[in-house]
Amino acid sequence: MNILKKTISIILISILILLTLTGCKYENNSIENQAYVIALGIDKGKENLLKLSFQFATPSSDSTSSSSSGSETTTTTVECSSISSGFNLMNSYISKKLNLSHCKVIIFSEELASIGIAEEIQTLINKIQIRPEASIIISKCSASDFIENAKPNLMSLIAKYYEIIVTSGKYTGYYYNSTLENFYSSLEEGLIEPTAMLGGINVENLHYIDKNINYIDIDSSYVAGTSLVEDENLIQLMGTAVFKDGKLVGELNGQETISHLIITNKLEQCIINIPDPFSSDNLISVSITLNNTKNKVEFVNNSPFITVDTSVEAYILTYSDASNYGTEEALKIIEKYINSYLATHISSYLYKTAKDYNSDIAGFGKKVISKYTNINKWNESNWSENYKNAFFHVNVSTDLEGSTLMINN
Amino acid sequence: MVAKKICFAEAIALIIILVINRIILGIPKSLLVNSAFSATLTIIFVSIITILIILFINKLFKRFIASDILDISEFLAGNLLKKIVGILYILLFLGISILCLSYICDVLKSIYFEDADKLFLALFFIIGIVIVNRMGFSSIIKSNLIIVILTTIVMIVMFVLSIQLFVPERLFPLLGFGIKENSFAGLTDVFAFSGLTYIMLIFPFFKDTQDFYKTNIISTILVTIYLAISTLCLLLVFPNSVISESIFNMYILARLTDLGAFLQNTDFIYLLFWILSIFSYLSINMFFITNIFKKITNLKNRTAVVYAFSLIIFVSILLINNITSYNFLLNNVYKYYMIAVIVLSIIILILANIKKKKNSNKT
Repeated sequence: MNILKKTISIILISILILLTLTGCKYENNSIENQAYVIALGIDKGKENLLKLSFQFATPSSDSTSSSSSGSETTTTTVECSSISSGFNLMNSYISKKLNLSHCKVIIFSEELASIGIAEEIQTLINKIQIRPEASIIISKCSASDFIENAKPNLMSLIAKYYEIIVTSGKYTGYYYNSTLENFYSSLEEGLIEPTAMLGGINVENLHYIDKNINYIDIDSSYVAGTSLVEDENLIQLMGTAVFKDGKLVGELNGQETISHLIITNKLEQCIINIPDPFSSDNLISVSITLNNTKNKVEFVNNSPFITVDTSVEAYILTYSDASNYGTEEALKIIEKYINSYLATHISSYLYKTAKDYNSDIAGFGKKVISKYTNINKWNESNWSENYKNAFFHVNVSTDLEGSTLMINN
Repeated sequence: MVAKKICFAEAIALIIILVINRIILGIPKSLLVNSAFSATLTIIFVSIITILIILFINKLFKRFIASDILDISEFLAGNLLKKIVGILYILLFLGISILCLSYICDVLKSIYFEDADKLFLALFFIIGIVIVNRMGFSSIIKSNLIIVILTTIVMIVMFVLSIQLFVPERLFPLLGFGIKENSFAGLTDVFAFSGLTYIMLIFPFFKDTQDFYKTNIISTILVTIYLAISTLCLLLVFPNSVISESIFNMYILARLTDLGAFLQNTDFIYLLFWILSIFSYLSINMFFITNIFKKITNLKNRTAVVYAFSLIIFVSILLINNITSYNFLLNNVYKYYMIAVIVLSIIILILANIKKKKNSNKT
C-alpha cells in the first residue's frame, strides 16, 4: 500500500513538473530567432541625439558551402534619443530579436566622445546581455563608417577578427585593449582616468608625416588612420584616447601609448628606433619588454613630485655588415641611448597628460590615496585638479641582451 | 517522528549555508557601503564581537544540555514565554525566507527570464521545498552538506580567478569614513553572523553534545573567513561606488571571471550552484519553522503545516514590489529585528542560568 502511495505521488509530482515545461512555448530563445550584434557603433545623431549602428553576423544560407567559409555581415543604422530606445527601434525593424551577448566591440565617434559618453557607458554596463569584456574604441571617423570598413582581410569570421585585432597591441605597444568594465570602473573610481583605443579608417588623404618629428620617431608618431600603410579603406587601431570626467580631452600617438603602457606596467613588447651611436645616419631598431615600473608620489609645496623608475629588457633587431654592436662597450653605449630615449619620451608623455590634458590616466592617484587615513581627507585633497601641478623625474634602466640571432663582433 | 541526529560536519554545513546565502543576498555590499575601504577592519572587529558572543552562549548552554531556546524559555517562564519566543523565531525565519525568495526570483527574472512571472519562478522553489520537507530532516541535512561543499568549491574557484582583477590600492584609505563611524556601523553588522539564530535551535539535534560547542566556534571562524574573502574580493575588484550601486554584486563579479579564451561566460555555473544553495537554505528554514510550530502547538506531525507555511511564503513575496522595498525591509527592518531576537535569546539564557543556579543551590 505504501509503495503504491509513493508511486502515485511520484507520478503526480512528475506530471506537475512536466506541466511547468509548457513555459517553453513562451520563452523560445532559439538561435534562429536571434540577430547577433557583433559590433555596436554610437555616433552623435543629425536628426536625433544618437545614431546607433549595428553590425550583424549573418550566417551563410547556402547549405552546400563549407563550414570554413565564414559569415557575412550586414550593418544597419538608426537614429534615436537613447540607446535603449535605439535597441527597441531596431527590434521593430529587423525580423529577429536583437541579441547583444556576442557584441565584441563598442565604437564611439570622436565627436560624441568629446561631448561626453559617461551616460552611454553607464547604460551599456547596465545591460545584462552586453559582456563587460566588450572593447571600447574611439573612432576618428564616424562609428558607422568604421563598422562599414571593418572587413577582415586575413580571416573570414568577423567576430574572430574583432577578438584578435583588439589584442594585437600586446606585441606592438601602440594601443591597449580597454574593456567596457575597465572604462566604467575608471569613470566611477576617481583614482585613474579612463582611456580607450583609438581607431580610424586608412585613407590616403589622411596620411601625413609630421615634419617637426625626428625621423627616428616617425613610425610610432601616427594615430589611427594616418600611418603610411597602402591598403585603403580598412580599419586601423593605433593610439590612445584620453578622457577626463567622461569626456575626450586628447589623444596619444603610438610612441606616447608605449610610454603610457610602460608607466602602467602593461607593456608586453614593442619595437622602438634609437639613433645609432656609431653612425649618425643610421638608426637601430630595438625590441623592448618591460620588467617592472615603480612609481612614487611625494608632495613638495602641495605639488605632486612623481618619480618613475622603470626597468626594461631589450634586444637589438638591426643587423648589417656595418653594425658593430658585438662588444660589451658598444652594448653599454646603446643601453645609455635606450635609457635616454625612453626617459625623454616618457617624460614628454607625462607632462602632456599633466599640463595639456590634466588627466591622470597613469593612475598615480592610487599611490596618493594610501597616504590618507580616511575618505574625507582624500576628497579634500582634490587630486584630479592637483595633477596638473605635478612634475616628474624618470629613471630608466635597460638590460640589453644583445641581438636575436646575428651580431657583428 | 524524532528528527535525525546530525553529525559535526552536517552541523557546520548548516551554519555555512546561511553565510553563503547572506553573501549572495549582498551582505558584503552592506558591509562595504557602511565601512567603505575599511571593510576588512570591520569584519575583524565584528568577528571578534561574534566569537565573544558565541563563547558566552556556549557557557550559557552548558547547564541546558540538548535543549534549545524554546525548552529554556519554557523552563524560565512556562508555556507562555515558549510560545512568544517560538512565534518570534517563526517570524524571523519566515521573514528571511520571503526576502530571500523574492530576491532570487527578481534576479533570475532580470537575468534569464524577462518575460516570466515572478510567482511562476517562485513556484519552482516552493514545490521543491514542500517535497524536501515531506521527505524529512535527514534528506535536508545530507543534501545540504553536499550542496555546501560544491558551492564552496565553486566560490573558491571564482575568488581565485578574480585575483587577476585585484587593484590593491582599493584597500585605501584604511579607515574608510573614520574609526567612530566604522565602530558603530560594525556593531550592527553582527547581522552578518546570523548563524547565531540557528545555534539557538540546533542543540537537540546533535548526536554528541560536545560537538555543539566545537561547531559554534569553528563555524563562526569559517563564516568570518567566508565573509572576509568575499568582501575583500569585491573591494579589490570594484570601486566602492560600483559596489554600492550594483544589485547583485556576486553575479557581476562572476561575469568578469574566465579561464582565458578556453572557458568564458562562466557566470551561469555559479548561478546554478547559488540557486541550489538558496533552495537548500529555504528548505532548512522551512524545517525550523515547522519544527518550532510543532513544539509550541504540540503537533504530532509537522509535515502537515509545511503546505500552510509554504503558501504564506509564496503569497508574501507579492508584498515586495521592487528592489527598493527589499533593501528597506532587509537593512532597516529585518536586520534590527534579528538583532533584537538574538539579544532577547541571550537574556533568556542568562535568566534561565540564574534560575537554574538558584534551584540547584536550594536543592
